[in-house]
Amino acid sequence: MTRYLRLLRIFLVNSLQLEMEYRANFAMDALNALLAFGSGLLFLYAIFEHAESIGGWSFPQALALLGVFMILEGFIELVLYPNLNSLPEYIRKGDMDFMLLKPVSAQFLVSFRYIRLWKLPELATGVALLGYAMAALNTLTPATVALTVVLLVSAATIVYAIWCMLTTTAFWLVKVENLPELFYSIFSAGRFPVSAFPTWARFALTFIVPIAFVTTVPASAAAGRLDGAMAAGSLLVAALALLLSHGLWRLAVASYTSASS
Amino acid sequence: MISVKDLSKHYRVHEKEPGFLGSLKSLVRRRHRTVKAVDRVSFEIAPGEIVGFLGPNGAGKTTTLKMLSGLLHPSSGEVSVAGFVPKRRQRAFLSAITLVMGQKQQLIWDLPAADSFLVNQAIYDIPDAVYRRRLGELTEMLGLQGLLNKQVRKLSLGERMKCELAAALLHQPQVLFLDEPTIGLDVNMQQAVRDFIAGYNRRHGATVVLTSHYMADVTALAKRILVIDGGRMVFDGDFKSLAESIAPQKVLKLQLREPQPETVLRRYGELRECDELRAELRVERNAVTETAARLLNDLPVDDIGIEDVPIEEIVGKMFHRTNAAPAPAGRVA
Amino acid sequence: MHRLRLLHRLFAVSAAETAEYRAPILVWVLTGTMPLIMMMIWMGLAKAGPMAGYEAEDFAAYFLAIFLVRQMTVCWVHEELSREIRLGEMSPRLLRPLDPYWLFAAQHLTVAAMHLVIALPVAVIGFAATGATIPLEPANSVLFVLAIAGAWTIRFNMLYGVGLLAFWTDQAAALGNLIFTLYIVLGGAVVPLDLFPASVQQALAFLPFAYLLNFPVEVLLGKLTGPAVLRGFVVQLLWILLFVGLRHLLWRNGLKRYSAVGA
Repeated sequence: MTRYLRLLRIFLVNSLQLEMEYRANFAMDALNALLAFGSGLLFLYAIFEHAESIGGWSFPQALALLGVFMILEGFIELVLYPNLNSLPEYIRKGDMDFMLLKPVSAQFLVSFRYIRLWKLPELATGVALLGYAMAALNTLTPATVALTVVLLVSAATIVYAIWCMLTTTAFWLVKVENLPELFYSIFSAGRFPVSAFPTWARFALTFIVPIAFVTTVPASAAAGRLDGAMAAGSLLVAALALLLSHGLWRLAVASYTSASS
Repeated sequence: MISVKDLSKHYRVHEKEPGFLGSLKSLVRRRHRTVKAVDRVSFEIAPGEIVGFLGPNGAGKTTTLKMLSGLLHPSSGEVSVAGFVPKRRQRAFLSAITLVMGQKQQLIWDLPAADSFLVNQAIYDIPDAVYRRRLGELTEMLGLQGLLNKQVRKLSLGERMKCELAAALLHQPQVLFLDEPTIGLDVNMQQAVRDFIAGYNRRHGATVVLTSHYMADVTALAKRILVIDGGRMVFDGDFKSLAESIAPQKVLKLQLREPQPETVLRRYGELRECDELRAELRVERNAVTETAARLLNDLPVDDIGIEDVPIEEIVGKMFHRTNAAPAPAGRVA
Repeated sequence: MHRLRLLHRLFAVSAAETAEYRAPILVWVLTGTMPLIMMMIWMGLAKAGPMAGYEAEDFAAYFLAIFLVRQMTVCWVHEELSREIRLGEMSPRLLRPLDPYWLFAAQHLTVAAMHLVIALPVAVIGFAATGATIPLEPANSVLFVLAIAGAWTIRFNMLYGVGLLAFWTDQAAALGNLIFTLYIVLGGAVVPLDLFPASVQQALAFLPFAYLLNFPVEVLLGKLTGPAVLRGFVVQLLWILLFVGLRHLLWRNGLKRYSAVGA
């Protein structure tokens, strides 16, 4: 366990060093984060000019949801995009072989080697927005914050597991390396509360691609309208998804080591 | 240390004819072919031995090495390395071996090599004091002074290879698998790498399995060579016996005072080269001294030299014999 | 004549190449579902009553049309260009007596065609499921094709120019992503421009984005009067001239810089 924590720290340090090479990215990304934030806000304003609520969520509640969404989007850009998406390249260039030769989990190595620290502004904006929204809703209590954090971690785990399973298919499917992009585009539905969607979409967004657990649930906790069953469901889904992703990974590696030349 | 019995790796490849019609046909009925990348190879390697795998491209050297390191599952046969079954990839096994692949690297490109070393230190759980000691030793042996704090992408190919070797040995493995370690390096660097491997083997008694298609790598380092061709092992032994059985000839190089016609020279042996005042003959081993004496007597010879047949030629000859059955050690069928 | 044959050959090769990439293109089409998500949201909001004159079916028609327009004007040339310039892969292209612009354009057009082929069934299902309709008048359809051609040319040249900035900075791709965010929001892919306050709408008329998405959609849906359509095309033309001119400028100066550095 300590070995992995140590590795994580080293990966962070290395990523920081790599980022310092490309300083300009930070400024650009801060700008991008601001733009994304601005457009998200603009959109909410436009909606609330014409409507009272969106799927039963008030304006400050919708802000909380946007904040949660930006936090998770930041997580994707910080950790998932720079690592798991490189899996097809690792396989092609032989880096995968080196990772399989190490006495630590190759899945861990592939998932966390590079942390794109210059994507922090997006994450930070999300946190700020969430904090503001919670303050506006008078839900900024230690208990609520703790619950929200737990559900955010659970949400991040679900996103990681799904992303990992999608990229693991790169071991078998050669051309369709952009499957995670598909997930990312469906993920953008997480900007909105699941109740804003038609019934059939609500079903799909809960049981097929569990976006509901990813954004709506943590935001519900932050907004003080948490559904206990959904919260429990989120933790369960996170645990299951993680197990599934590891299982699929091992299957993929077994296939790779049987078939590659 | 390493024990291999009837190791095989077969691939099923489906054949498709080119063109649209071919694609259609392959949709309906797939034609399969079994490629035997490694075919019933057996050998034993004792601890501390340096063994060279020799063979043409595609012979199965790298495939064998990958099976020995656990990267590839054998189709059949038994493998045991340092008491472990490689394909199980147990943590203790992975900590006991290392695989270095020429032209492929595990060092992080944009960071100094030292940072990649630290990653390995964490991965192999090497205590700080031990790590510092080993790094010092490797720096000294490989001449890494001044290289470790430069970004890897700014190093020359040879310098990168040295750093790569260091990174691979920080955990002091008992078994070293080296796949074409000197490929692409200049002559001096190749020598440096060979010297290092020999020195490392002497100092730590590590078992080394080395593949190469550079003869010099193998002759300089390995007393024992395994020749693989078409997936089969066609020779297992030392060079002398290989040379004696495959090429029972010696090379006579002549420096003449006056040019001699080819027909004359041919009376003494197989004429390989003839160029004004220089000639090269091939003569049976046992007849070499006698023939040399006759030449000195009969012809205006200024200088005469007796050499072994170049190793490339010996091995090249072997690879023409692809239909040979797997040979017992020391002999060629 | 030689030029025509060359272009024809380029397209044939591009088409063959693109056909090999059917599967990933399918995935890319499916990633363009943001408009469909927005459609569902707006339709849900309109259940209580029309918003700024938009009924649920109107939102459906709008966003389905946006979906199609986005698929037909798909463009990633700024990423390719900035990568090739950065990695020095531009050099082999420069050795050939053909401006790489045409190669990229041919590739993009064939891919756009493939996108359309895959996206149409999706759109048809969408129309059937939502009960939305498009007044398919021949005049509107022709104008729509023109508007799409204009939108494609603007977007392609704009992003080509952004890609060429890689001759000077390594932030070209990042800039492209920034522009994408602006394009989506200010082009009307998230909120129909009609629903923005009037002042915002007026400001947006000075930016190219509305003419990349909103304008072709409104032409298709028959929402614009004659003079408005004409105005729209004139503005499109102006933007085309601007970005094509900019592209030429950047290309000439960029090449000088590139050769000076000796990549």
